[in-house]
Amino acid sequence: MNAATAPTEPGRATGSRLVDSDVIIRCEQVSHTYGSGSTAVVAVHGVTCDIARRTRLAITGPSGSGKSTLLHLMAGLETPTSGQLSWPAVGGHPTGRPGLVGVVFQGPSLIPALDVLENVALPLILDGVPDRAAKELAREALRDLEIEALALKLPEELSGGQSQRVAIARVLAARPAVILADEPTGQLDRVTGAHVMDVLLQAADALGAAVVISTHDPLIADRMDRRWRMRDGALTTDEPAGSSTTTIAGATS
Amino acid sequence: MTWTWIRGLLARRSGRLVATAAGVAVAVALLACLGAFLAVSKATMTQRAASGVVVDWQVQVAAGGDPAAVLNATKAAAGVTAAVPVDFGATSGLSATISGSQQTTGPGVVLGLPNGYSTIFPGAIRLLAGSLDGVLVAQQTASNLHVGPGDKVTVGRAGLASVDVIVNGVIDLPKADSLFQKVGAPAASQPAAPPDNVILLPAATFQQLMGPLGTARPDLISTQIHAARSHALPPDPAEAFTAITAAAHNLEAQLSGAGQVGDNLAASLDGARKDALYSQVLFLFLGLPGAILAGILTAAVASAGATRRRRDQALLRTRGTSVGQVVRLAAVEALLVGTVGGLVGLGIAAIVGRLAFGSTAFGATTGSAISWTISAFLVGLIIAATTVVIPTVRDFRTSTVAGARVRVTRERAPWWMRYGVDGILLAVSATLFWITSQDTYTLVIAPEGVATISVSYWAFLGPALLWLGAGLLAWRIAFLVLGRGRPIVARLIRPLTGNLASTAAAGLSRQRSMLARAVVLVALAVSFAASTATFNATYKAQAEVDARLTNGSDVAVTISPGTVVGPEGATAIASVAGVQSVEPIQHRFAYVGADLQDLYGVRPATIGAATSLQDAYFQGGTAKDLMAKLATQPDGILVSDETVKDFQLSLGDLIKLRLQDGKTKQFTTVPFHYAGIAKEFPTAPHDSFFVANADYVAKATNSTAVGAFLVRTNGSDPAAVAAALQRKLGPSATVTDIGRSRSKIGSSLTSVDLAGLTRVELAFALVLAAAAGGLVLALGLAERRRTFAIASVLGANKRQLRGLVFSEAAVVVVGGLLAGAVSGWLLSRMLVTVLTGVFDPPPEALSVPWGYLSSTVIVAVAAIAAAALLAARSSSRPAVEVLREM
Repeated sequence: MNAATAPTEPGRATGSRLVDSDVIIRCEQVSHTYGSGSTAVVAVHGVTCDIARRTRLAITGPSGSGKSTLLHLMAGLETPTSGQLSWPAVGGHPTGRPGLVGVVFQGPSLIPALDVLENVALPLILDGVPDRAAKELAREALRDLEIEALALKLPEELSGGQSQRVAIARVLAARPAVILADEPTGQLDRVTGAHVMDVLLQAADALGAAVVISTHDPLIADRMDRRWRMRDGALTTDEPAGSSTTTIAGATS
Repeated sequence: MTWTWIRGLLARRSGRLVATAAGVAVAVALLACLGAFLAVSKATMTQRAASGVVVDWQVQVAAGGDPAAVLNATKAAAGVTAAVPVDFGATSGLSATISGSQQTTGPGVVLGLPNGYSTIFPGAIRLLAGSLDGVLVAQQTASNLHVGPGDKVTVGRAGLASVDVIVNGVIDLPKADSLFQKVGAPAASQPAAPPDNVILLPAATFQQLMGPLGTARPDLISTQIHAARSHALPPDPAEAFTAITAAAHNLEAQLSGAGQVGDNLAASLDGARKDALYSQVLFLFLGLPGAILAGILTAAVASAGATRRRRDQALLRTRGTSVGQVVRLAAVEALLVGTVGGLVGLGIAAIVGRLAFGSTAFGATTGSAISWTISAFLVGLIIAATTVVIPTVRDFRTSTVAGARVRVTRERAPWWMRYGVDGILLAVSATLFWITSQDTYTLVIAPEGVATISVSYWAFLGPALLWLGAGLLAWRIAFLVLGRGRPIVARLIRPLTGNLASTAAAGLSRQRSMLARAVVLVALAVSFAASTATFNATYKAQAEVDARLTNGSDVAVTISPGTVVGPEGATAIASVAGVQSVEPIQHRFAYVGADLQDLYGVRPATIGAATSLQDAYFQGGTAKDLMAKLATQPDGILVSDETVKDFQLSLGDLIKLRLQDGKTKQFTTVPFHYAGIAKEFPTAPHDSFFVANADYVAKATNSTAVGAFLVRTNGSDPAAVAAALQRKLGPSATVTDIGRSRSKIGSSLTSVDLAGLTRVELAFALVLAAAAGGLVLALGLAERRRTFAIASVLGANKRQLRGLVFSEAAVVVVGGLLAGAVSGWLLSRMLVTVLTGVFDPPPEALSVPWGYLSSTVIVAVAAIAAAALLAARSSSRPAVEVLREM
């Protein structure tokens, strides 16, 4: 990433402005259950936490512990079955203010029929930014991530690492207040994964955006400021990255 | 493992399996239905041909032969159910004195019929007045002699004294032509018309009265054995013809010259053979494209799920499954959908066949039923194998496991586009069409009496290549418009997609192959529906025109020969309930040189009120123009094309005709001037005739005698009006209605079976149009659920997602309907021209069934809209849920 890039106000690209609040996402006793009756699975159970501005947070835990579901809840992609979820700094549900809460998925998330530039510009266009301006911003994001050369490639012509960098560019183009990344390096080799993380964190630094990552990889978790562990849908520990475990009842980052 | 795989497919990919099986079912059902159509139509033709024959065989006893021996041999012939002797005697003339006025006729024929003749041969004699027992007089003879039941008729005997008989009944001989045929003579040597004067006597009376004549003049007396045969014939007219002809030859061989068979049954079947061939041609032209379309559709349905299938199979390969095993699994899947689809298809065909043709059999005989069933089923299996197994094998050759994930790659023009195959197909089609539409080209060749018949299947290639070429051209245009015309597409879909237009157009462009395929399928289905429906509607309209042309109008009152009625006779006819207008037409005979032709005197200003004159009947002007010409130029005359050529006539040339004077009964020369060509005219024969101004003809011949009155009904049933008229007019006139003419024409292929074929094809065309539009789009959209889910995650609202879905649907609807309309119109014109042999007269213009076409468009659009709405609805499912599933 270009180190000289000045920090930019989140949401600037889409015209969305942050409300004057340090807390971007607030979870109060949030639970989420898939299915019902005998087949019901509690994915997230009674999570209470705040995500503050500029947070660097890793959520770790075994498979099925509820990490992805919690991220999806925070992104507004899932609705909690109980508890309260709010986005104080966003000023409403993130689906109504696209771009302020950016999501990076584990698997391929680019639209196959659109080229890289069109993929990156899409969230901006969906938010009402005129086509030409959106593509200019998208090109800027690609340039920031040093992948402008991929602009006219189709997703199927990209490697896994390139795809994830494009996915990150798509999030960054909208100047998000928080980036929620669901195991963004899960399908990449370690070296590529590390490089993708470099790009993501540098870009987040440049934007002043908070970063929340779910991951199995301790090396990636160690690059965050804090680490939350999850087990059976509940947050069990909150600790500085790389420190020993402390059990918590509620967590604030 | 196979069962695990099948269970998995049934549980997780049931939609794909059901859709593919449905495609197979449609193809199998259509083929089997067409088999039923062919079988039923051929069997119907045979039955019709046979039932139209009253006396199957007329065995002429050779001069000096023993009638009893011939009778016994005929009775003993296989298939003969009854045989009776019929005596023929020649009379020097008949006469009668009624109310002091004596009427005399020229030579005639006296028949001696055995008891029960009319029971053995129902339809041979139609009673008009009196009783069937005793002495019967033919209608025309009764009219000539002015006699009825109870009157005395004197029968002249050459060289002997005349004898008197009392008339018991007046009858009509509907099959007089074959009854009085010259047995064994070629068609050209047959009498031009049956005898005018016929009297029928009971056999005993004949022996009593004509026996002495036989002794004195044996050349004037002959005997025929009339035989009825079993009509349990092979269903195929060609086979029936061969069988009957062989049986007749067998009898002749046994008679060793003592008798010759006049084979009326074979002669009738001979005509039906040609119709059977036409039905086969119609099957090819009208039915096969539907079956091919169903196959293409199935392939499209199967390929819509190809990405997922490739991914599933790639997963199997990564887990060590061998190539052979994967292909075997694909084969099992194909067998499953092929079998289920085939069985369902045969079931549908049985139901449709029952409803449309009244038969659940797929063939005329057990053998052909089995072969049709097996063939249709095999075609289903082949379609399933082609669409499931072949792509699997191809994937192994061309793709890697990683490549199996590829969904959208850069679009490249397919090979046929690079080589211009569409243009080549259209050019070849145009050339073949040009050749096959020449006047000298004959589609079906069935020489009379010859066992060999043939169809020129080349003619089928023109429309077939047009259909394929137009489909590929539509593909090319869609491909180009979506590719290079992206900015235009973006502008066009902006009302649906708003500021997403440019992005949506980019997406459409990258998937233009898939969209072009959907466009082509809709176009082919619409084109199939449009061309079939238009052809069938044109055919039906022409059958009606033919019936009207033959009968003249709704009802025709033909004045019996010997009866003189002037135009004032119209008043009596007009007074009958249900009659709207009456138009008198003179019918005379005119000599042009040594050639005798019919002449019709018409009132040019009013003839249009009672009958419809089509422009196609005339040459050198429209019907209106030429009638106006006859009105302003009373000595104008319309002649046949042949006469123009024979006499090298130019417009305005003087033509001198010899017509009989009403007063002197002598032929006098009447001058006319050639004013135009009449190819057809109501009630006129198919060969040469004249049409002239009635007033001029009346003045020149001193006679206003009318030949026939054309009656237009006021919407009342023509049959009822005809019956009322017949009651009122009695035996002095023959009254026919259009329904009777229609059924006469219907003895050929025309109105008999095409109605069933039409119903089946139009129903299938609707299904195919709906499937082509809806199913293909729905499956394509289902494959892109992930795309919509990602767009949703990125912030797309419902309106924006709907816009993306509807823009695809709009491309398919607009492109498909436009291309389908154009190719359907072209195809209809080509079909009507190539199959011109089934039209008589050739149509003036295409009859477009707007109602049906509108329904097709509505069904196709509704199916596409339903698919789009379903896709739009499913795109609003929680995006994460969809992403997790995929």
